[in-house]
Amino acid sequence: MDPSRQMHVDVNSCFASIEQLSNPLLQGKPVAVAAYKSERGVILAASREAKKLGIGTGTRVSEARKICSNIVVLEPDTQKYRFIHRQLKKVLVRYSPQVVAKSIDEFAVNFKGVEGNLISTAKEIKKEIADKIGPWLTVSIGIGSNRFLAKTASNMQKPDGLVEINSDNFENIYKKLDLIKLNGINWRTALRLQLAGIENTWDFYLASRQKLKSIFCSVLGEYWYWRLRGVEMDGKKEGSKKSYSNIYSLKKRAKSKTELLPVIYQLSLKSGNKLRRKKRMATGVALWLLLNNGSWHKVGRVKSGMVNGWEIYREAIKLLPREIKGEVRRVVIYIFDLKPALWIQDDLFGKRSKFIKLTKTADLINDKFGAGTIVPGTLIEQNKIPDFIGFGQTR
Amino acid sequence: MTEEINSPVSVIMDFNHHQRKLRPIQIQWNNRDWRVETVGLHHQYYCGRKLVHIFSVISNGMFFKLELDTQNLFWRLLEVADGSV
Repeated sequence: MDPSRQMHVDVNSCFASIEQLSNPLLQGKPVAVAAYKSERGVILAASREAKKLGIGTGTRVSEARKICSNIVVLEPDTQKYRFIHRQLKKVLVRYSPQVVAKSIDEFAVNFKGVEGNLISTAKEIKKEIADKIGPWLTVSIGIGSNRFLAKTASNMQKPDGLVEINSDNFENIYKKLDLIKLNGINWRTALRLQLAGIENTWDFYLASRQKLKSIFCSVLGEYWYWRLRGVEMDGKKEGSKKSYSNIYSLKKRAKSKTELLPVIYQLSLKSGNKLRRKKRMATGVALWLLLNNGSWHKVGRVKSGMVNGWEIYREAIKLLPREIKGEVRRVVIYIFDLKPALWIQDDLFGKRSKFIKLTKTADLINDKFGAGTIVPGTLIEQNKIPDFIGFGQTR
Repeated sequence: MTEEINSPVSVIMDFNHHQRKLRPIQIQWNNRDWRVETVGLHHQYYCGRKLVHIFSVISNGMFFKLELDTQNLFWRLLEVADGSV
């Protein structure tokens, strides 16, 4: 195994800890940040005190209240979490320039080419976070020779952990580590591995490349073979991503198209902003609705590609069914077939270039005066466009 | 219990040029003066190009969320909480 040069930093109980940091009256009390405070709301982050009682991410507010009647339930304050995210990144880039935000509360830091012992660096990072942001906010740090091992190590000790997986201790760790605890192995894959005689991570490590290839029926088996040996298999560049998706769970179930439009608009803008930042365009868009009585989806294609959120929104609303048969609980926008936006294909009468010019101006105005200053005409009667941070996202 | 207030409020602020720190020290709300004991978090964000500062402070067992609009330097009290359910 190569020397450890990868670090994974994971904020413990992120949203709940930030709420306790900002309101010291909540410190030491069970706190939960839920998508909605209502009984059906789902908990996004539970404080350490709440976790000790068995309340965690995914628990319903009603269940949490049954377990602990005096739990403090708060709705997310996205601006606050984004601010702390930026502060954490500021701390980390002082130690290595190669910091990748994996989500709002997770960072992968590459120390290749940076001198120094990573254990002492990790201790310094913890101290600096405590000094600059606040001692209530703790992080679990994992160190390994690749991102996967660093992430696995960060999950092994919570809260405030510091674990390194290296060539001296990996055998002991693998022997004790359940397959399901590995990042990227769900219960189905674990079952498939167990059926092939692989009971724990150590068996997984000892399995030959051929055996793993035959279990996974794809090149993924080979990837796992090298990943467990500390070879970097997950450091793919962002540019190689072929799709982006954004999900939103509705506070109040929507029964009509009008109620869905602000959500579709916000999801389209988020996808479009990502396209703008990455200078890419998408030629496919899919809209997926999760209803109380099943699900519905439709895929659309745009030959000339979509370059911003307004174009995605325009295409996505075309996909909406005439009538929604049921109550919508969740909306997903998925854009795919991403390509570099090297040039923009105009239509015969130049309508598209006019539209893009117009939406660019609208984006500029929204950047200057705040999101939602200029909205599509179809949303003029909607008073609030939702703001949220999706799983695995930083903005 | 959290209560949304969202109304203008009078605030006395202190700026320490040695520490380069700025903090509210007293709030006048509900016909009462509240001396700020702890600043839990001071964060800021842009609303368009307008920078907004948010101070989460504790006074006399109560939590106050204050907003400073840097465009007009006006303060607003966004919410008050007592730390219970």
